[in-house]
Amino acid sequence: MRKVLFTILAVLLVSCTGQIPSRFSQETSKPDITPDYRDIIYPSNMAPANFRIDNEGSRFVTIFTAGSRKTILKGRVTDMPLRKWRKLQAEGGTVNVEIFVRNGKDWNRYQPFTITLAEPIDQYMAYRMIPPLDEYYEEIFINQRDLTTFKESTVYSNAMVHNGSIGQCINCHHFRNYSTDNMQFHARQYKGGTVMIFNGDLRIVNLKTDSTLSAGVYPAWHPTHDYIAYSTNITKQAMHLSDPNRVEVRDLASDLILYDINDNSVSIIENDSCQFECFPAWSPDGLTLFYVSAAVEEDYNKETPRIMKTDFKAFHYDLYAKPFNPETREWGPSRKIFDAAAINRSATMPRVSPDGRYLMFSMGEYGVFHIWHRDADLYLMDLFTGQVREMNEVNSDDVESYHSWSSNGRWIVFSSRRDDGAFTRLYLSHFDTDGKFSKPFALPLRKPEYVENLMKSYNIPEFITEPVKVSPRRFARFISRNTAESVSYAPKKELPTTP
Amino acid sequence: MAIRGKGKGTGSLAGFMSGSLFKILSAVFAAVLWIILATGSRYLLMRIDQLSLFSSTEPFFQNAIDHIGGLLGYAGCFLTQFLYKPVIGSLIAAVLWYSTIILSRKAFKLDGGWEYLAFIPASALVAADMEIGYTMFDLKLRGWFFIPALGYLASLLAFQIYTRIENWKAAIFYTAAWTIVFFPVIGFYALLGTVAMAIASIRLDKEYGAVRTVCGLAAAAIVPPVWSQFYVTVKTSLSYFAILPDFPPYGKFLPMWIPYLVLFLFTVTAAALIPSAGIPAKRKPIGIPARLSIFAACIVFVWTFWYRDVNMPAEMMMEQALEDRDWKQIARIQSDMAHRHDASDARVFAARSAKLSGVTGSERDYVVEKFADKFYAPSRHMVLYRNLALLRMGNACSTAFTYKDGGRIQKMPDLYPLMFQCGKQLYFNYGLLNYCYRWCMEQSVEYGFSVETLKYLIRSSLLSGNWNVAEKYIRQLESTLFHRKWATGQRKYLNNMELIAGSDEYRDIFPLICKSDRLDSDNGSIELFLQRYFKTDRTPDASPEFDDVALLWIMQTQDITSFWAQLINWINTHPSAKIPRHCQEAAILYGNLENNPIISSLPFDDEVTKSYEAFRQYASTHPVRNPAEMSYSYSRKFGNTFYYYYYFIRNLKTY
Repeated sequence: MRKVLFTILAVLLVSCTGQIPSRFSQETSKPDITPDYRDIIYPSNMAPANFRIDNEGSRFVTIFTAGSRKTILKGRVTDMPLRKWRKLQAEGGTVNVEIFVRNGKDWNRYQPFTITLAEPIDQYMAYRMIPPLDEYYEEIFINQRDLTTFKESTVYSNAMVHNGSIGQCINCHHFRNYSTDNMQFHARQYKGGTVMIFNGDLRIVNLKTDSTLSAGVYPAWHPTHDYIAYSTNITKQAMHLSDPNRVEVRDLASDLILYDINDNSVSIIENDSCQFECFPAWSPDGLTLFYVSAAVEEDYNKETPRIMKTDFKAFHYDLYAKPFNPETREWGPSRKIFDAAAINRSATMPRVSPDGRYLMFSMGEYGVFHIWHRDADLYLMDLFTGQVREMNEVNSDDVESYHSWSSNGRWIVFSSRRDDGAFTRLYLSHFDTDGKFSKPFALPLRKPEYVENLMKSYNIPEFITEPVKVSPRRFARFISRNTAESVSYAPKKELPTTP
Repeated sequence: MAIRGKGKGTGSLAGFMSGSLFKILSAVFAAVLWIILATGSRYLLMRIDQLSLFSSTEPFFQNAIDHIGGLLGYAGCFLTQFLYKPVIGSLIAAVLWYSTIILSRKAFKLDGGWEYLAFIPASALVAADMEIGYTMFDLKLRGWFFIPALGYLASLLAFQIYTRIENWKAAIFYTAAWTIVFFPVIGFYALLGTVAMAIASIRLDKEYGAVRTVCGLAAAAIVPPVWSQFYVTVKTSLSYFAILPDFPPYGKFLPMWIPYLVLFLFTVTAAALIPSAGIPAKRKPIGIPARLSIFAACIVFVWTFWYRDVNMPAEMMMEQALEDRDWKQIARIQSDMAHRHDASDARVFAARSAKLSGVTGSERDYVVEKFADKFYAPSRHMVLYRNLALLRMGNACSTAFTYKDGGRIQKMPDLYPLMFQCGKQLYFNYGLLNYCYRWCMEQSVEYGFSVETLKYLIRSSLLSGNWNVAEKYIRQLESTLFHRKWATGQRKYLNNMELIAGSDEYRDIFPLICKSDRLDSDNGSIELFLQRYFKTDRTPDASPEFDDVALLWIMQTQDITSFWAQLINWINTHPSAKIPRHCQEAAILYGNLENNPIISSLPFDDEVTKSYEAFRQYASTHPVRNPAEMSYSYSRKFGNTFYYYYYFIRNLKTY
């Protein structure tokens, strides 16, 4: 009886763990897998890189080897147990992956590829899940994902608060220094306001004043002091009749404001009538504010239909830097650091690396909202030398847009529509000390084909080192029960000019 | 003859009326509904399927279970796909309604004639489905057609099991377990079962009934808000109503809640009056007239709530014909509808004439206005499709105005935009692929992806050369039961624009594909946007087909200046073609109105010259003080001309 049981067990064990084919033909090419995790640099603490083998075949064996550890998986889709992956990761270095595919009676072994383990990545990432919408919205979620596992949870959803006929749009989640003790997002329309966690406490404020264009839009939380820089925008959206970009999101006016959280006041940073200032981003030391701005005519009529229909390609945004004294809240004069207009391009969404050395931005032919521009790509500026280069290592033929740095500056995440041109997916890439990016790879999922059937886009990916501690229900109760507090307007402070 | 209990096997008339007749009527009730739906409402059922989706993918399932009652919705969507085959889908619905009758009778122990009350919940369920009408374009509840029946049956089953539990502790445990386990699965319907259990407990358990009632009601009150804490897709206060339809409980939508109210009240009342176990029914049996009256009242109830709109069946048929690209059928449908109402229009005219006798001035106008809606008119939806069909048939500018025109408002609680009913179809067929794609996406965001939106996403992506995303949508549709074949058939077009351009199903679109670009917005009104587009966005290299379309659209706007400009364009792109009849009519009319010398150089057919002269003569002897009053008599003589259209088809509401 014992022998019978042992035999059964052995057979089961072998069939579960897979046998390495002893006879096979050697292919000259590497296997086709989705996502493409071949020869990538991967975080040493990230969840397994599960993939699907796309080569024709009836049986599949995949062998992962790292150091002295070996894990064998069967099946077209790898489903690496987390425990085994951790052991492979613990070996450090490189994970070698061999794939055997049986076609008919013969096994074929493909050229192995590697997954090189590098620095760890922030444990969490927050993003919005939205349909690839144009104007309408329904359920919107801000989610957070534990990157070391596959767990995803909701930070907040508008469905918990909506009023049936009046919706609530939520957007622009943002964190100070990768921490969730200080974070914010906007709720628009029903129970609208800017919802904040400030030093652990919940607040909701209405950043609109009579002296500013709108409530705060794109945020940038000061790294050391209790300020948040925002753009204020009058934004319109329109459809192209035939252009493949389909949608254009345009500002008809935009300025920059500074929200002083302790003072509960906003002040103007920039509101030049001949400029559309947008997308603020702080340097890590908080002494410089970077932003983009496009020049417009003095008598520019903000409401003209002409603008919307025909000359949307005339707007080119340049990169600016503006000194700031966080102690006195005084501003120095802005200076242009990159003239995109001069090369007939338009830069947007600047983000500075944690070490303050590099500035990553998106650039396309025109405009400021590049997720709809297929030609938009990522660029890197060396702030020490002023050199700008295209990030050819990561760009594709389709749009690359919203991007973030990890807290150690070794990883970036960016939005891309390279998969199908319509649904935004998240890609990660390693950034080495020589200033080079590695081959980008898709955010790993337990079931790789899940995203192929997912009819939603990932939006605004932001690294965080810890999960949001406020539950979705607590956010919902707070928003339902509180009205946004008004803010006051404070005059702008300029640094005294040297005589 | 005394009526005792069910009167099984007595062989008497009373026995027959008590037992067999009820079963016969139940079967007849379901069978008649099946036949009516399968034959008379087949296009409606197919439309419901088009607006729904059941996909076997994981994200689809995940999205379902992320909502309270989501599994019931998932099951509802699963069954909805069978409406694509109306005979099967309606059979499933009929079986569910029949089951409701039988199970209601058993669960609430209805007999002695009172079993006829079991028709009430079934009637309410039928009414809940068949009252929807155009509101189906505005419902966000996926699987709505089958959800009420499935949910109610589940709650009945649970209730029936409850009535057999004698031990009070076990009963309380059962109630709590049912509520806790099934509330996230079937939402409101679980609470309905819980409330029924609680209320029935008073009669079921003389000793501990009150305890069971309190516990049951407490479960119904507490479980939903507790469960809602685990969901991020529901507002706590609304969790009690999970998986109920989302039309508002006020205003013009209020009557739509009546079937649900009836269902709830019946359940609660029947539970409250349920006979105690082991004790014969104390209620007095009711006689045959009363039983038949109950049955008749239920039929009347269903009939009252059964949605009726004069044009909706035709629109549903046109939708299917569009899908089949059967242009002749589309035109025929509208023509048949008009002819079908010839006699009734004549009667209305006669009745109105009688009322107008001796009446003058504003009072006359008042009578005319009162009778206006009694004359038949097609909806804008029908006219838009008809014109598209005629354009495809190549004779729109000769025949479009021979069809009855108008803008009868669809009967609905709220004006539901045409954009969501037919926008993507029209945009696609008129070559505005970006706009087609956009409205597919907006509709999907608002109401969830559907068979229809996926089809048009595939079509517009293919013709735009967006192969990867086309393939994504094809894969989605391939995960369905009845549309996978169509989707797989589209695969041959991937990466092969040449094949698309030469295909029967797409070649007509190519000459119309929009070449000019600018930013714009249609403000949600498809008809006004298309009018403006064809008026202003012609490119110098416009195809002859584009000019055909533009000419028809411009004639509809009755804009004289734009007409002349487009006529010249048309002549240039159709150098050897005869000017179509309606264009000649418009030219001769406009030319005379403006004293435009151009008409002296245009080659008018004798027929057109004569018809214009006849119209002038008639107009001189039949002056028009109120176009609405004279419209009918003019239509009898000139209803097939552009002159009639110009003077009498005005101020149409489009939305």
